Amino acid sequence: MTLLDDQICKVPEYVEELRSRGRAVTVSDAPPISVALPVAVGKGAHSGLVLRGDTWLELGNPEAGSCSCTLFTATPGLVRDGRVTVIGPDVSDACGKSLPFGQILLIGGDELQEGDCELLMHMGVIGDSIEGYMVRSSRQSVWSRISRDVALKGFTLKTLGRALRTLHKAGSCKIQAMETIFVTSSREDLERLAEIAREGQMITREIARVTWKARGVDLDCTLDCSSCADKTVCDDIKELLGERVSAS
Amino acid sequence: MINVFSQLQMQAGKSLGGLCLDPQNASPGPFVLGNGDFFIEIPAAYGCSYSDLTITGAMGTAMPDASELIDKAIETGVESRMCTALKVACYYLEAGLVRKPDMIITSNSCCDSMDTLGNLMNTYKPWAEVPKFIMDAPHSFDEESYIYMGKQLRQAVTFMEDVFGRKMDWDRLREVCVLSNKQDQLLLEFQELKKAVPCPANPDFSRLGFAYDRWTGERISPQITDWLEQLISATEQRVKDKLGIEGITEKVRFLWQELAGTWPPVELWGRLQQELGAIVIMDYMSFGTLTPIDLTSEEAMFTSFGKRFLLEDPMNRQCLHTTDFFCNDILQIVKDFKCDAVIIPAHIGNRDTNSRLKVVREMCREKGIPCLVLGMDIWDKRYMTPETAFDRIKTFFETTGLI
Repeated sequence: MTLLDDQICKVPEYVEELRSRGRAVTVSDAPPISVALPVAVGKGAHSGLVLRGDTWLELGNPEAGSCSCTLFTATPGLVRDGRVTVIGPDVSDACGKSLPFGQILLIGGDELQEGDCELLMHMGVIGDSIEGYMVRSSRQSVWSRISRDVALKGFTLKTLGRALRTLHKAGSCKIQAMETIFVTSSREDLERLAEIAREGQMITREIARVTWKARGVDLDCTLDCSSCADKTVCDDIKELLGERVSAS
Repeated sequence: MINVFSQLQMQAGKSLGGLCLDPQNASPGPFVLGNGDFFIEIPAAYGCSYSDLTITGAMGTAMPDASELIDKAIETGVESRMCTALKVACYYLEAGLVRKPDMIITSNSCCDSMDTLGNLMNTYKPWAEVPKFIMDAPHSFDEESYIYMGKQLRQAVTFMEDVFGRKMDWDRLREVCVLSNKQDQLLLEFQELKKAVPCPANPDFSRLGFAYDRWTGERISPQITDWLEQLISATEQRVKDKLGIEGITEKVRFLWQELAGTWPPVELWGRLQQELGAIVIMDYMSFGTLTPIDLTSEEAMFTSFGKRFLLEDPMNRQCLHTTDFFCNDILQIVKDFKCDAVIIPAHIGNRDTNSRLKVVREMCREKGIPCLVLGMDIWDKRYMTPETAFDRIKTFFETTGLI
């Protein structure tokens, strides 16, 4: 059992909840990674830019709604490798639209540990790695554009899920399984997902705090302990606080 | 022939000139003074002036007599390591050069020098009877903090209404926010265009656009929307034509992880572009993360204001939060904007950033990102001259094989 397993277990419940509300849910299993994608994937796959006039579809504009989270586990059995679930309209149905966007990445690997959290979170920065797909640099959640050219070549959300899986697996050999869920149905449908994302975020922030602490940086303070002249005073205060807490 | 970019630069530059002391003192209408970014949509909708004394001080460092001003400021006894822009602001205040405001609004902020200025404004004896509102900005970035900050901004509106005896026009505030949302989307659009290689326009238009949009007398006006539309159209055309900045052969793209300051954009960045093909793709004032203001209800609107204040105001974003947050932004900018290197000017007054130098340097080493730490004063070129800074950066690019 690892730290985010509870949140991972909530994801199938969330999908079923939306299905029971009558949302269109499409589930597909991706072919092995060796099967070519319809678009180029990898560093420098394209310019990293999709101009306004070249945009087929916008996803996750904050005015439409956006939520994303990456959850990982050391129990790969919790993750169905290659599965892509799409709830709501897909790319081909949405020419010229701006849709809400939820993106959940479930990642599993026997050897994944809390220390891998930072790397996994940074993998979410796509940059120029997927042809015809631009993720804007301005938000914590995904706000992206799909170009007309790739949409006409058959780019779907399943393609996006496969591309993300390819990039993640190339980025860490510890990743054995990766499953993706996309939600484009409504802003309201993202609210429940936002709760799961918030829980996950609280845990990953705590992991970050511990990771930085091990490097000598206390995130509760903005200063670097190793170069801070007040470290002794700070340590004394913490010690005193600790004594008071244990005494009370 | 003057091209569209030069015209846009002149237009914004002229307006930014209005941020200097004399034009600020001549601001029309009720005069509200602060020590940092107040939520600018509020005074814009209320129809009062808002003058940020921090910015006025910073503008002082660009004046022909800047050195003299800075020296006079030091003579007033301000702490030697205080940010020079704030030293000048303190001098303006202590010397009685700032117009007496009708109301003061301050907050504890990301910058200890700005806090000092705020305290000075609030305790300045000749202004003892001026009504004052002090906000408490939490050093955190979660929903609770945004709500908390939003409530204080709402209370600030009530306070203004009491002081000036006039109610806020809520429809007008909503109109201003709609326009502001549109302008923010355009600013972000320009930011995205900087991802193109070669960079199609001077990336410093981001900073210029932000300052023009948020700080000047024309803030959140239709002129700004036109300015931004023109900027983006011209830049998009250059992206389509695969053109870089006119007259520049781009060789190196780098992140300047600090405020721009007054002299570096004028006396350093241009020379780096011209002589080395080295482009400052992003500085931390330019990195826009603006979320549209949520207009669904008054509460949602103010919570959005709170979020903008705490997380999306560029300096608050980089200085108010954790080292983890600071480092993640660097990595994201480097990857998204294809930066070849990170330069940390390590401005002497920015203690918050300077406390993170070791961590950032180590992180860059781990990730294979060339990183240079300078140690300059971005407001006073006597501390490290433009020539020295240029030489050090050139040597850094040479030794890392970037040129």
